[in-house]
Amino acid sequence: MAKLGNYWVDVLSPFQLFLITLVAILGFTALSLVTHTFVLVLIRRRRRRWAGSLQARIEDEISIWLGGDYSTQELVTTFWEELTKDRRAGAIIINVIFATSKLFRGEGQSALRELLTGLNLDRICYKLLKSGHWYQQAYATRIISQLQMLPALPLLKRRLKTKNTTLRLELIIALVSLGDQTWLQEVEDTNARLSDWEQILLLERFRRLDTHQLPPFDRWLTSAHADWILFSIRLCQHYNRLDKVTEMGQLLEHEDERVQIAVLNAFAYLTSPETIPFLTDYIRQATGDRLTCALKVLGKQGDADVIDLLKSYTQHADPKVQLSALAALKETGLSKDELQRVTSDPRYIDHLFDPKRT
Amino acid sequence: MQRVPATTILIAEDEALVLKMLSYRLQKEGYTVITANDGRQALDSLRTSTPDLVITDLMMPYHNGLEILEYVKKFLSTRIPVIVLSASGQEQTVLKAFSLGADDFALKPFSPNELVSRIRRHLGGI
Repeated sequence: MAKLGNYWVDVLSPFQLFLITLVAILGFTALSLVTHTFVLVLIRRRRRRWAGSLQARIEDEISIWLGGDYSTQELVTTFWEELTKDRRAGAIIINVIFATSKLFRGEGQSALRELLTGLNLDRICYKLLKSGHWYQQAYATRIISQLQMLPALPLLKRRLKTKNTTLRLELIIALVSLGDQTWLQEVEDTNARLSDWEQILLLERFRRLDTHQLPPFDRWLTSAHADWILFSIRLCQHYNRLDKVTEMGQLLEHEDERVQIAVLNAFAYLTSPETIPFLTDYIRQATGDRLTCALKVLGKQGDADVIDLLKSYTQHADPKVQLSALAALKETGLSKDELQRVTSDPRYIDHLFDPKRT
Repeated sequence: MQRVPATTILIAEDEALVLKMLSYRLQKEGYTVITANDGRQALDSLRTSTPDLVITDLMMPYHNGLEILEYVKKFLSTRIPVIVLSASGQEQTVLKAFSLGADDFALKPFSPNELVSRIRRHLGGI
């Protein structure tokens, strides 16, 4: 055997030997990698199976417990056993508690909070809040908000300075739902920017709250930051805050055109006689799109006293302004004949009364 | 606790947790509970047995809660109370449910105790 072995080795050149060795090493490496991957897949599948069955078990236990068959203490003991067996059970229990809490309110939700605290899993949430990953912080914030974990308030407030938009929104929503308002100034000062998208998301979440849970958003009408003023105006409009017409009217003098347009939109929606003095003053100094918009809003107030003012704009040099003034006059209740007497161009009237427009 | 034997309740709900919890809770109250994970199962159950009360989720696979409601009121009896559960509190949805004959509408998230007392109220005459 040794002779045979030596024979093969002897006839191979050093390069061929090198190639054979290389192929052998690569083959071994590939085999090791395949084996390793296979083992990892098996482990992952096993873990997934374990997690799935544990989750189903936990869901069952929680359902029975919420149904009133177990005491909280009994359930805590059962879950403690799972936690002692494997610490990873904690994450699964938290996930199930969180998912369940979204389905129930009242006593169901407070019982779930009690369960989370009883298992000391609230500490994991607090720990996640300090995590280096924003998504873990955001998840913990959601749990805290959902389960109304009031002791977490100082931790949430400390995170408000974050530059991550998603996390910041989650924090604001959590602070609102926990009923804390001391963050109002802080969030406004540390986060001057509040994009339209963020405003939509916040409004969407605010809408789920009862009126008494809402923060005093009107205070942002006097904010130093235009985005927060805009948000406040939009909220005032959404919640029909007719008592804030004066404050909003004063904002028609704001340097930011977006704020002025937002006030006009709010006035168009609120239609209160108190808006008229602000609008008439504004019309006298506005130009371009702001003027056309203001005329339409003034018309929507439906007040006969503004007819003369609106009529004066039907002779404006800009045809757009003329048309807006006529549209506003139509809104105040003027008939087609009356409008025809105001303008020299019948095409405007035809356009305003074109059935296709509506 | 007041036990109401032989009173059957059908729960049609695709959210396993809600289904399990309500089922345990109502069984504990003394009711016989039939469960359905989706609209198809619910309709199958309704074809074979007539419950005394139906609780149905609005959004379910195969057939939605409004179809279940319509089936109960049209083909079984208008006297069978139907409670609609929904995550959507949109006025249009609520009105649609009531126009089809829904007896009650519970918005998710809901309070289990509140729902049980609503069920008791609806079954009061039975």
